[in-house]
Amino acid sequence: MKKGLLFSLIFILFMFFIGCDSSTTSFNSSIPTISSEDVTFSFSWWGTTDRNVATYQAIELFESKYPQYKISGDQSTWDGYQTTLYNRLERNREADIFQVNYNWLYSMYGEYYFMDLSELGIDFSHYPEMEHDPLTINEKILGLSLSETGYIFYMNKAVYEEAGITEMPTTWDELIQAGQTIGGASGGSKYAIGRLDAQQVSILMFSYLSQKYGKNLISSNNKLNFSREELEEGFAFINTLRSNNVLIPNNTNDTHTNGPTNPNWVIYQNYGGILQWNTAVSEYENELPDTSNLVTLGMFQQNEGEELGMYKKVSMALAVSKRVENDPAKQQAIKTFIEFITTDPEAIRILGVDRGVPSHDTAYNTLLNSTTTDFTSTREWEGHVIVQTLFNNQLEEDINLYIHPYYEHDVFRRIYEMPIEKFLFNQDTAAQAINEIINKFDSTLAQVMGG
Amino acid sequence: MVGEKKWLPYVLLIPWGLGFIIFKFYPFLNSFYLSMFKKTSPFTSEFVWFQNYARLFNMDDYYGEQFLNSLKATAIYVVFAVPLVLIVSLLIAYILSKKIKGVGFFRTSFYIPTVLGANVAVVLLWRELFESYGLMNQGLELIGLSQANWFGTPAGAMTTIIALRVWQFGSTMIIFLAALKNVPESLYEAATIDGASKIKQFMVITVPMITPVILFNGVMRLVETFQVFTGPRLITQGGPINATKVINMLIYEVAFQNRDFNLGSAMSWILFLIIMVFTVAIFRSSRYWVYYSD
Repeated sequence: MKKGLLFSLIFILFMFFIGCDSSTTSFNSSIPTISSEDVTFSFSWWGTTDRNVATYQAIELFESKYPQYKISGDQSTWDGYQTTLYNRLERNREADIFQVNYNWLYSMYGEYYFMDLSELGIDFSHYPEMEHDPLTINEKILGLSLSETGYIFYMNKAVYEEAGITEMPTTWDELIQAGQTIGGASGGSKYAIGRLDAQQVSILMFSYLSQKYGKNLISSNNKLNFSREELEEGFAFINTLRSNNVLIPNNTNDTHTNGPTNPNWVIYQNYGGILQWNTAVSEYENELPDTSNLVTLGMFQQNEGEELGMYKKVSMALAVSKRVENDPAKQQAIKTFIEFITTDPEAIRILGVDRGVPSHDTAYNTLLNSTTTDFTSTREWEGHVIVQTLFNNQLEEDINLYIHPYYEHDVFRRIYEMPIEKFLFNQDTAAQAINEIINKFDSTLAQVMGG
Repeated sequence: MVGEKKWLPYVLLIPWGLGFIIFKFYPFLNSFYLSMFKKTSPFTSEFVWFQNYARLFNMDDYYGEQFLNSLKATAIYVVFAVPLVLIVSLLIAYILSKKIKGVGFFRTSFYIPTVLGANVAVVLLWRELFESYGLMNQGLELIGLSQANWFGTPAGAMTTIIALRVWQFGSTMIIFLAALKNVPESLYEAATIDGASKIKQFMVITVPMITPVILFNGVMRLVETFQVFTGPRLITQGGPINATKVINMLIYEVAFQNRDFNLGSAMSWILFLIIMVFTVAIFRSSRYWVYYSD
């Protein structure tokens, strides 16, 4: 009995050690053996159901056309994707090809983990000129741009029509007038825009200041480009919006949380607009009872006819694991896959605008000329046109509002977002918020950039 | 026979010992080692002595400010949650120690929240309760009050996560209940004969007699409360305006999201020292207020 117990214990411990020993349990042992000509590679991405379904369909089509290649798809939600990817990169367990946000190339030590895509032999001439400049670090192209995106306003015209406004405002002054009219007609309960979070108010204010002063938030030498006086003007402008029923006067007044499910946006329709990346508007659009009420507006202007204040960035990119550098067969397979999703008409139509309006010219033209589905009438497409038009117009005026690669860095963004959030909650005055931003902006940016 | 058994306890301890060494002791020591380094690239680190610790007390450094903010949030949470858990659980235990009808049912009912724990499902349920259209606000509307902004204001958000902790008073209550059962009945009888009221009896007999258990529960809840994570992480995500970003949330953010295990380890060690100082202080003070009848 005792011996039996002892042997059982020893057996359990033995099994425990065996289980812990990585050398005896191969990570790849579960992968089915395939012939030497076949290649299996993994692909991970984040997305909503629509994107997941489209991606799997495209993968299926790819595998049917290239039976020697197999793709192991790994879908995920946005939440947690970044942490998981970073963790996998450190353990050399990332997928062979994976979707990334543009700023991750910088914050995740992309040079060490991502392969130089120019070595894959991809023809970058199919992409707009300079599209891959922000994705290039030390002359290595670390990400393949899928699409670009910018923050633009989308309005719920039902809120405006209820107040008797039939023509949508296009300038800030008209927006303020609309706020006054909507507030007056609703007894103060409805707003021309409503509640925006700190991230949205930040870009609103920086867009406004960029229109006025013709410069990017971050200078070319990585410093805060706006002076104290200019920031004071920006905060004063936000206060004007808050006191004229454009924005809610205090974010604590809204008992609901930020975002697309806020009942003031969805059910009560007290809020007349949102400011959102044009590639992610569907999450707000889908919540509305009548999506036809949503109007793609663009960016309000200082003066009628101007086309300014548009910040843009690469919406998302594909990166290839550095591990693939030593595997020519996988390189060929991945190159084939990338070319397939950007040039095969069927695959392009399947993927549609689920990752934004494609930057690759063949993919773009295929969707533009599609006779089966009118992709140009989608919100993503409408937004894309506005973003590109305004951005290119600014370039002609020598104003480059491309979003700095560290603008959305997890640490750096809090340097401007947190003071703005405190301001929106009336916890900080404008002067306090400006002091906080000025005091930490340059030093924190230098710190996260490794300076 | 006895001699043959001598080795058995040690063998039986091996699984626990291995678990302790691998998952507790080694990470504990290694975290101190890690806290002395600074990552210079994904594969290289530089030995920087106590520079990471110094950063946390430098208010010009982003993390210095964040750390101070998290210490404040944690302090508010601990200051309210620990006494409230002790008071609520002691009062409920006192009531349940009396011979009342259906006492078994009530004991089980009050203990269930603790069995469920602060797991994800319970926390999500809590979030639904306090959500704009949740039961709490519906209840307020039912009695003619306006909706409360539970998660939208710093005070409301902190109240919500403290309430979640207080709600899980079951295990503290059970320990108090056992202690209350051990208070000699003769003391109450004598006090009754002397004309002492129930409140007086509770204050001068019950409380002093169970002070060792109050000490135990106090220390356990203090240690546990300092390390809160799940509730604030899932209910408020540390907001609004970082009002509920407790120290463990900051450690998670720094170590696992920003992948700075060096700075995260330094934060963990400071948290450890804070808990140790408070624990030692409580133990030292116990000689003045804890009564051991034996």
